[in-house]
Amino acid sequence: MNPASAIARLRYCIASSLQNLRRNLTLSLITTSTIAVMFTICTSMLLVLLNLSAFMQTWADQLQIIVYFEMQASAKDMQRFEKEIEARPEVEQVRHVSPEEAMRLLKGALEGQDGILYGLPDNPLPASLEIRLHKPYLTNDAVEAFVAGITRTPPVADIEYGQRWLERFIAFFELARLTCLLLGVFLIIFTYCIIANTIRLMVYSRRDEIEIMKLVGAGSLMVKFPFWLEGALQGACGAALALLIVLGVEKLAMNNLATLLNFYLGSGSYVFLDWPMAAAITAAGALLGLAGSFFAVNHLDAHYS
Amino acid sequence: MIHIHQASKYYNNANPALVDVSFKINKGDFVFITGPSGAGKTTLLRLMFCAERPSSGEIILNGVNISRIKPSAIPALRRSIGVVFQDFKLLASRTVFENVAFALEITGTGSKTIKKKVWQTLKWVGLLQKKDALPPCLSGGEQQRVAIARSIVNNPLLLLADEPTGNLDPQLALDIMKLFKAINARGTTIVVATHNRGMAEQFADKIISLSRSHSIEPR
Ligand SMILES: Nc1ncnc2c1ncn2[C@@H]1O[C@H](COP(=O)(O)OP(=O)(O)OP(=O)(O)O)[C@@H](O)[C@H]1O
Ligand SMILES: [Mg+2]
Repeated sequence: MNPASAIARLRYCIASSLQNLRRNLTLSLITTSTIAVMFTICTSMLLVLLNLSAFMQTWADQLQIIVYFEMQASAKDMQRFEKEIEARPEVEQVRHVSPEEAMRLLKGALEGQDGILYGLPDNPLPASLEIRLHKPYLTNDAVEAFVAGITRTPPVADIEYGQRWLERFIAFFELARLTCLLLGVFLIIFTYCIIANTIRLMVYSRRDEIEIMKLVGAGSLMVKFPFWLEGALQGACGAALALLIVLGVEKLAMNNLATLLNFYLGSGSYVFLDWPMAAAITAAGALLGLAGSFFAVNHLDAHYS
Repeated sequence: MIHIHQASKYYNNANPALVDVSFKINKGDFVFITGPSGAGKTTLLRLMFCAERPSSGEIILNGVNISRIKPSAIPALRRSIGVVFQDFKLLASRTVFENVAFALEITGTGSKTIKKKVWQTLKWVGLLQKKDALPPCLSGGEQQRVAIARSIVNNPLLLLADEPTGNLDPQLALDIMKLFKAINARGTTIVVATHNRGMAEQFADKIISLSRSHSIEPR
């Protein structure tokens, strides 16, 4: 096959599939919007998961163990204890928080509602020590082991650590991820069926043309390629439309969401669509459409009736 | 050019469509296959353009045994064979020009060549002034001439026609036969299946008679 002829054939296939989409406009539009809805759901789920995961990471990075000292603990005892803790290999950093600083932080956190603190005669807050562990020790077991190694005798009054909460959150996240995965697989199969069905209808609406094509000697690729294109095009358009919807929702809700997310994520940045992700999602749409049409027209190979 | 050797076709084991049919067709022949309804004329033509495989026997076309051909080789084979049917098989939503161009488009011919060839062919069958019409707006005879134009536009070696005049009145049928005769005069081998014995006798170089699936000695 010479290149000029290949290009002429390709041109024919592209023209043929565009014409076919135009002729079955209602069907194509319904299919594309259905794909768009599916992809909107999938993309949203993906974004939620990515953000939860980022949130978890931030949380894990900030995770610390707080040791509260007794009110009457002496500075010397506290210092000795701090030296001991600092010497342990798991420890990345320790920070001593004095009662005064603790009060300041509390007032800051209550922000405008700190009136309730005015009636207090003395500062009731104890001094504390914030301990941060190295990354590899940020598992439930390692943290438990570390905490178990601290004796709860004076000057230590109490030990607090958020590890358990993080573990719970991780469990919740795993559940959410599994749910999204199952839902995603279901939606992908559903979308695949929608596309395959649409292409089957298109094949049916063009059965005369296909018969004549075979009669005048069109190869099987020539017969099937326009349908592959139609599937891929609808998939890609549906996915692109979904990206626009998600982008629109994000723009609309930006103000409310930003405050909310800043509060939870702290860092103020949340994960959103970037170009590689958008390209990957569009490609996934095209691929899904291609797969749907591929199997819908596979039988068109047969030359013998 | 065509050598059919003891070809048989059983669609189902009960009734055979063709039994042990053998004959030869030379290059440039104008051949008719005749016989009553159900004799197997359509089946015989379908074997010749690989729409069916014979249950047994050989079909040799230009030295190629097409009864054993790979499915992937069928499209190329069909490009060297034109086929015309009783019901024309035109695309109703495409113009006369587009219907004829269709046979060239799928082979990857450049648009300039397509234009030239379709133009020439339509002129030759006398339909140039109708090139932008849609088939449903044409008479039966005109529609059949469009179908013939499509079948010959890429200069096939062999033209197969199954009851090409079955839907036409006698005068139009005669015109179509004259058109076939003219195509034949350019060197294309033509095989026409018909139950119209009289027409066959008027035009044929050779007649193959089928009777209840068996061929009767060709005359
Ligand atoms: N696809 C098929 N499946 C089963 N039987 C078939 C099929 N096509 C044809 N036949 C049978 O094969 C026999 C020959 O049919 P064929 O169509 O070749 O006859 P014909 O000579 O073309 O008849 P007609 O003049 O009516 O067109 C008939 O008995 C028919 O019923
Ligand atoms: Mg017949």
